[in-house]
Amino acid sequence: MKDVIDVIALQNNRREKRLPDYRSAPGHSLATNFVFECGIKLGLQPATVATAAIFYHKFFKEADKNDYDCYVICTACLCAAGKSRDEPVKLRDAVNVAHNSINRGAGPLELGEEYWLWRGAVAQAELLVLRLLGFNLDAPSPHRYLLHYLRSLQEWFPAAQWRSAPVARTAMAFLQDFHHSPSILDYRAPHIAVACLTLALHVLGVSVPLASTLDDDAAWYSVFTKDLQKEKNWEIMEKIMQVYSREPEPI
Amino acid sequence: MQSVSAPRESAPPVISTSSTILNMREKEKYIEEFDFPFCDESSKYEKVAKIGQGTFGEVFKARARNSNKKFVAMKKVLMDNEKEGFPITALREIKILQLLKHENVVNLIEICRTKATLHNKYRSTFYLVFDFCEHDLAGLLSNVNVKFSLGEIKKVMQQLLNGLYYIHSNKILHRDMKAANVLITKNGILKLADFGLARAFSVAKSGQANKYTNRVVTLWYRPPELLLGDRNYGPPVDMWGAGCIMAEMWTRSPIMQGPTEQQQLILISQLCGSCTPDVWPGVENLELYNKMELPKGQKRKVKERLKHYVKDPYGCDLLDKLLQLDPAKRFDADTALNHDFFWTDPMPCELANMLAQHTQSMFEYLAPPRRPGHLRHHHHVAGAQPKPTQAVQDSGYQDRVF
Repeated sequence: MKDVIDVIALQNNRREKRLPDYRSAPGHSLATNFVFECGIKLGLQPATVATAAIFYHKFFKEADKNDYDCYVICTACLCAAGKSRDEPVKLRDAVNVAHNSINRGAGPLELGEEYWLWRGAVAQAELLVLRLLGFNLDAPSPHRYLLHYLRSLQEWFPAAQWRSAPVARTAMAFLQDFHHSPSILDYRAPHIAVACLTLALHVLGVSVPLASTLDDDAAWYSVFTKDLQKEKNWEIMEKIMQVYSREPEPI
Repeated sequence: MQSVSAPRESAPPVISTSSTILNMREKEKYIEEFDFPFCDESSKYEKVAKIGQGTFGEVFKARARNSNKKFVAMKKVLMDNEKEGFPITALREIKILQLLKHENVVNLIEICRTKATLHNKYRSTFYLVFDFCEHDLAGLLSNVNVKFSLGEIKKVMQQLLNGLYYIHSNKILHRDMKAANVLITKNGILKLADFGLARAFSVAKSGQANKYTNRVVTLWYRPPELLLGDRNYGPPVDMWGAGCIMAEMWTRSPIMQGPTEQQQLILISQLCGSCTPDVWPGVENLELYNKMELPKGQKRKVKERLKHYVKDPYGCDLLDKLLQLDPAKRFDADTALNHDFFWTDPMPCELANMLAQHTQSMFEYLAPPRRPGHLRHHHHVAGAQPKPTQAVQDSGYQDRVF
């Protein structure tokens, strides 16, 4: 029994070690990790967390990265994304989650000066984010496209083959992870969705039934989006893969 | 971050990535001079008059400084007592208005902000800036000198239903239909306004009903399903309001002016008949069906009572279809637009000529109460907002002052 407990303790210890240390990370290297960690801890929907990451990238496309504390901006992006997707988070929860993620093991903030400073900073940063985004919060979401494509493909696949490979999960994971990269701003939502789907199929070694009978075996996705060139699709897939070569490893 | 986000305080206890540490004076200067490339300063407009006031803020008429002819309506976003940052209700309204672009929906031009200075403790005020409309329907109806011909009434209703058809097909519920929220330009173009209570809706899937708040819509325009506690409602709530507004085109004042929710239900029953499972299957399952006092044995008298005002039989028939108790039987905007009312003589005709005879802007806010002794705003629902656009003076339009 003790052995089992030791093993669990060791595993926990390892997991603990793998959590990123935001305090020592240089500059913005872990900013999007922070968005995802806090977003998940706040119980936000994946698409809302992704929206927060988009806000973050858009914000720092305009603003100088050295001018703002990235974690305060990230927290503000989560608050703004929550509101814009009708999934509001309490400012107090956001502040506590952010504080706790930066200061691992610290308890909830006392209702003292530090808490109020944090809270004021995040509230102000939210206004700053909204203004720099010009209040344009409604970008077309690749999630919806991907979901729609997946449902269509599922109908097309033989049921057994579809069940044998986690295409949907993998594609969704690629999409979510692509939000770590600012390149996500450079492509249209349907194109991103197709690229995630194509990459998932390649990685899992699955091919779309009867696709090989087409003149161009990548043309199966032309039913989803007409104006995506093969080269462009590869370009996006490469950008997605680059996310995984980032140091340190995303959690 | 320390530079902008927490100006009055020392830098927050986050590890800072910022390379520049500014002192307080420098921070204040930095904030004052900070330029937001995508959010203009409100000083590009010059306030002319206040034209609306509601629970949630004020509305001003303003002139663009770079052009004397261009008028806008500015709706202030109230930030006092806002403990959760920028108000989600305002954000919702902005998102909905950005989505809706239609001739019969008020046009949002931009969001503006004031400079953050010592004066406002370094907190900006935000404004929603709209195209200006000269009149609102409540103001027009309260003026005895404004007379609508049958063709003009048809034009008003046709535009109103066009607007509703558009917003409903975009999966948006207005949730505050009333004459004061229907704006009309001096050229006779109708615009639905005030999306402060609007929300997106989805068709409820079997087994998982929607849970929307039923504390919406100004009481006099509130449909029976909301008064009975329905939380899984949809576009028919706006269609009831359209029916009330249509009747008002002839009666000139709201047709059911209940002082309480209970009284409103009684007034509805007296006009539209008793709410029973016979005429409205499923009404017995609504949360407040057994809690509210519902008059029994009332006969439906919609046509009988309104025919004295509404001489046109098609008009009477359409009213009857819009004021259906059962939301499932109530006409939707598309069906209403296909009704013979709009396709028989006299055909809908432009309002511009009639409105040209009136050189004064007409707004409910500026008009004397339609019924003496009644307070204009006490029937606002909690959470209701002011009308975003209304008017005073335009080229040749007189400001009504009091």
